[in-house]
Amino acid sequence: MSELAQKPSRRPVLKFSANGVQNLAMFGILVLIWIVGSILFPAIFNTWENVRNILVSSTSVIITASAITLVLITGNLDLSVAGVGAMSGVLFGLFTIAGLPVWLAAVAAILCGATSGFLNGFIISRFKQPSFIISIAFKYFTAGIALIASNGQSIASGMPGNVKNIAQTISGLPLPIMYAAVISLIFLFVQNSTVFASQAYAIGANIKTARFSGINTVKVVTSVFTLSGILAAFTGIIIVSRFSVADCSMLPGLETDCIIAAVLGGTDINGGRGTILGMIIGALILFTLTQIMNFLNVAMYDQQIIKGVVLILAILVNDTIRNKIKV
Amino acid sequence: MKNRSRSLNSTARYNIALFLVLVAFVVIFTLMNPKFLAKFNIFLIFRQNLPNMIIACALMFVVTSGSIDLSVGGVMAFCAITYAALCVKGVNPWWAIGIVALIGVGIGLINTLLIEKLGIPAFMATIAGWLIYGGLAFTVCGGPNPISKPAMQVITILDDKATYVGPFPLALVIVVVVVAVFLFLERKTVLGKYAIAIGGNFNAAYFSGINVIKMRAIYYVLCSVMAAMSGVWQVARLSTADPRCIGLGTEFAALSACIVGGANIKGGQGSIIGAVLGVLLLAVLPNGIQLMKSALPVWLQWLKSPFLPQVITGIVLLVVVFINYLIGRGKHYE
Repeated sequence: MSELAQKPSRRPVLKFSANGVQNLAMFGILVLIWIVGSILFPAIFNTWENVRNILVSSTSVIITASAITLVLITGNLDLSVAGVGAMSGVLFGLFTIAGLPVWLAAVAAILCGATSGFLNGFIISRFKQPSFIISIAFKYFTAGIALIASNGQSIASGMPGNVKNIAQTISGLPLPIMYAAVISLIFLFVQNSTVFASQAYAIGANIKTARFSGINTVKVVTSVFTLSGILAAFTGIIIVSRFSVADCSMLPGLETDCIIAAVLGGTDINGGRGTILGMIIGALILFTLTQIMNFLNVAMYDQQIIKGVVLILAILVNDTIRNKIKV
Repeated sequence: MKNRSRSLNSTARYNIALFLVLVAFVVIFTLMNPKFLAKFNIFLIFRQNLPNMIIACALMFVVTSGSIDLSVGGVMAFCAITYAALCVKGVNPWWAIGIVALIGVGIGLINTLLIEKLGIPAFMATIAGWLIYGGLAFTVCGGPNPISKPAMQVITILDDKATYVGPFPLALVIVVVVVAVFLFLERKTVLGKYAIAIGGNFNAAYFSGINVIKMRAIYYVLCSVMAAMSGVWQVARLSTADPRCIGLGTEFAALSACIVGGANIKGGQGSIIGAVLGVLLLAVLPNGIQLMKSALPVWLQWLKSPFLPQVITGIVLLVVVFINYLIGRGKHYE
């Protein structure tokens, strides 16, 4: 020890922040799950087909949770994303049936999502109300609009064929994966190197201090929620485009899945902590597990039980890493 | 707000205002369609909202004490299916109710363990619980197909269309009894005061000698048991135990009712009367609008959509929160 203290090494020493350890641990778990999958199903697990399926199914969570992670970092919750996604998807379907060109319909649907997210965030931050309640109100509101607009049925016929173009596969690479990659890269950049993200962390850590140090909390929180509305709407559109069906209940449990992915990645739901990279690893863990369970013929509802157990374990592991391991 | 008397505290004033709003809506709906106040419709409202009503009463304690329980929907489904499965296996329905109530107690204790002992945030622990119990409901059921009528003949004890206590249907009696019991617990035992104390300031409550974990455990157990009983009620009412629809969205419906009834989501404020009024308000609005005949102009016809309750709940929540902001009640987050 004393030798080390006397001559400070000139070599670059690999150093980790607490977030680094967290992400590394989660990445280790992902690799472990992957190895287990490869041992169980040596023939199919490591094929491009399988990897692509896992990636495609995780896109909706990765895209939405990019913004949800920021929302959680500011110490808020957004439970409205499933409703917003369903509303935008249904409206997108109806717009295309009404004869709007597909891109215009998509933009209009995303604008609806953005409006909902904006109102959500503005009411929460301006009137200092708990995000939990306001986002539940918006969940009811948007899910209700989706139900009323679609009259409770799935819209399967009448959409023009080029709706599929949004989520088509170009030379073996499905576009949803591209969207997820681009969006998560943008959010990685935002989270790591913008003032905006630092302000979000500050608000999550202590909103009073943040306000007194001159951060416009209303602006930051509103933007974060607007982003979440936009991305939820985009997810809804991608789902409609993938399956060519607009259904009022097409994103069941998206809000819980996003929160689970973020928490698996080390985000604190009380705010002030969390990384986009962790969220991506968390989402991949979630969907790799799902895929393994699908291969094992585990029924949908048993997967739900396992998801709940994984959520509890993830929080416990997070706490242990934060409390026991000093970096 | 003409009842703003100095002798009443803010919760009482809020409840009176809420009651007046409820009465106003009832009068309006009755003027629109006299059938709104018909015996059949009143009983229908109580039958349909019994689960929300009794869960909201118990959830009110949990929310007032500064915690939250989102697992009630899953617990309700799990207990409903377990009850049906036990009955089909030939267990005496009354014994089955007892077993299901015990399951509720167990789930409440598990919640306590996760939240109070292991320190998992209540929101996450109970969301996980909701996933787990909701999944277990399907597992007990053996798949997505409901246990339905032919196999369910055993369970006629609570079949509510046949069961009347004097002139009143069973639902009304159950609601009145449960609400009375909860009012007693709130007013005459330490439960109500301690809930407000714990929710108002957790540390202060702890240091003034309240056994915080024990009290929270009681609230969680009450909540889970009420959810379990609601599950039994749904099975009796619908004569089918369907894991896909029993308990769906109950947690948010009951929570919305508590918020409308004046609960502070951060704890420290709330009353059983408020919860009851909240449930009634959220139940009466969609029902009354459905019954409005031809009184609606064309541009409001969309209000007749059968999916309106969701939108109404959302709007009422926003309005209530906004009013709370205006009158400076329930400052949630600074």
